[in-house]
Amino acid sequence: MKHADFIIVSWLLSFGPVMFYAWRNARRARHINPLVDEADKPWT
Amino acid sequence: MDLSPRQPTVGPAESSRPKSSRRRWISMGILAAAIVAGGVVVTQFLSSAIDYYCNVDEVGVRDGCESDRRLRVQGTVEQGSIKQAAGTTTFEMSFNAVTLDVRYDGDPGGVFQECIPVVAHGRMVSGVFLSDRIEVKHSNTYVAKNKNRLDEAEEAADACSRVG
Amino acid sequence: MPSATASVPPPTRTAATRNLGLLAIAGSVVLALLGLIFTAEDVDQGSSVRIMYVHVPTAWVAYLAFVFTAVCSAGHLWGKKHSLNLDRLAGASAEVGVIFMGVTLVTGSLWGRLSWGTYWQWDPRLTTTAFLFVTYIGYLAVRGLGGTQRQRAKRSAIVALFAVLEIPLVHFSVVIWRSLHQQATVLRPNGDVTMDGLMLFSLIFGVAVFTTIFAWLVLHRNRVLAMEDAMELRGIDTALAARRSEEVSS
Repeated sequence: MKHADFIIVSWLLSFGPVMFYAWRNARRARHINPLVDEADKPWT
Repeated sequence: MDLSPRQPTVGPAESSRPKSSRRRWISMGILAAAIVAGGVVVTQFLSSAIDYYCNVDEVGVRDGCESDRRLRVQGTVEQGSIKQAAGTTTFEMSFNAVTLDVRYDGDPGGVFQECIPVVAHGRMVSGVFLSDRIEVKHSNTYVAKNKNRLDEAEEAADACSRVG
Repeated sequence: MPSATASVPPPTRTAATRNLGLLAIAGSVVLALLGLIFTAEDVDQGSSVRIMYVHVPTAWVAYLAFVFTAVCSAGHLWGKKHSLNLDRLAGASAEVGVIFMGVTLVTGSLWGRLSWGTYWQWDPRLTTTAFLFVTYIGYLAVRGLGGTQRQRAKRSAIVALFAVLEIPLVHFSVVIWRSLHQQATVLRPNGDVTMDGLMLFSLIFGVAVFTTIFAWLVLHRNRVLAMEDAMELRGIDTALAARRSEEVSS
């Protein structure tokens, strides 16, 4: 790898896992949403 | 979009039970792995010397820096001392006015250059430090390049004293 | 994320998280422009200093996350209500902290290859950071060990209050022991900051951006955990109700 590649890779590896985590969490939320009572969602 | 009626009685009661015990076993496995990994980290740390390196003037003087064992030595690369020939790099490294000759087979990586502090791994052989690994210890000072071209010459001149 | 469901906003979204998310995205774009284009190269390190703008903020925000976990845990243990929501916030924060700490280790390793010439060394700062990372993976595993939600909350709160004590050790490891890692530039005991102006601004800006991302992730995650807990309780409720009706009918 060249110098610049290290920098690009490190930036991608900083934001990639964060986006993946957010995506998985949103997927989980959609999946269990129908099973949860509206009363148990105080933020809505 | 899913328009089928909600069936909470079937969902959680059926699915969450076996799943939660599986989750428990996975958690136990992860916990065990974390404890093992923590142990490995600690032993690795303790088996290497607690202080990461000896300074040049401490070789053969300080406890744990005996010259007959494998050492990590820190010093500043002397100005004009780097010579490269036939795949071998030799240079002088100094700290607290004590100088050490270093020989390294290969071209050191990182931002190796004159007047910067480095850590060399290796052992003393008849007064010369034979190194098989050189790490560049960078400073915690960050200066924008070409910020002020007038200062550059001055900077180069006192670079050795700046980084020591 | 091209799946059909992704177009539906997640049920954990509110106006606040939406705005926070937009702020995080805008901030990330500006940070990338600052860190990758507008800031100058360092005199000694050249362009590898650009890794600093993600490495240092993620490390700081990981510390922040672990401290937040400890504060929520203390609130759970000593609060009058023994709030389970504080326990869930602690858990969500620790998860995000582990991700950021992992990012710190990976980006630090790449930076180390560029500037020291090595991916990894058992140096005090690197070792203590790795230990902190492993500790919080252990903490998350402890959260999953089962039992009731109150048991989980109490058990993990105690672990969190011990684990947070490692943070000062990590921060001062470069002062206590001789280390390959450079000492603190911004949080120095004598208050002098040895960094160029725009570099420093970008670094602080990076901390703000990653803190926004942290808050956004924790809010969403906390709500999913609340839904999971509610589902679990209702699962037990319905099972109990089924049991009772069986007993009555038999």
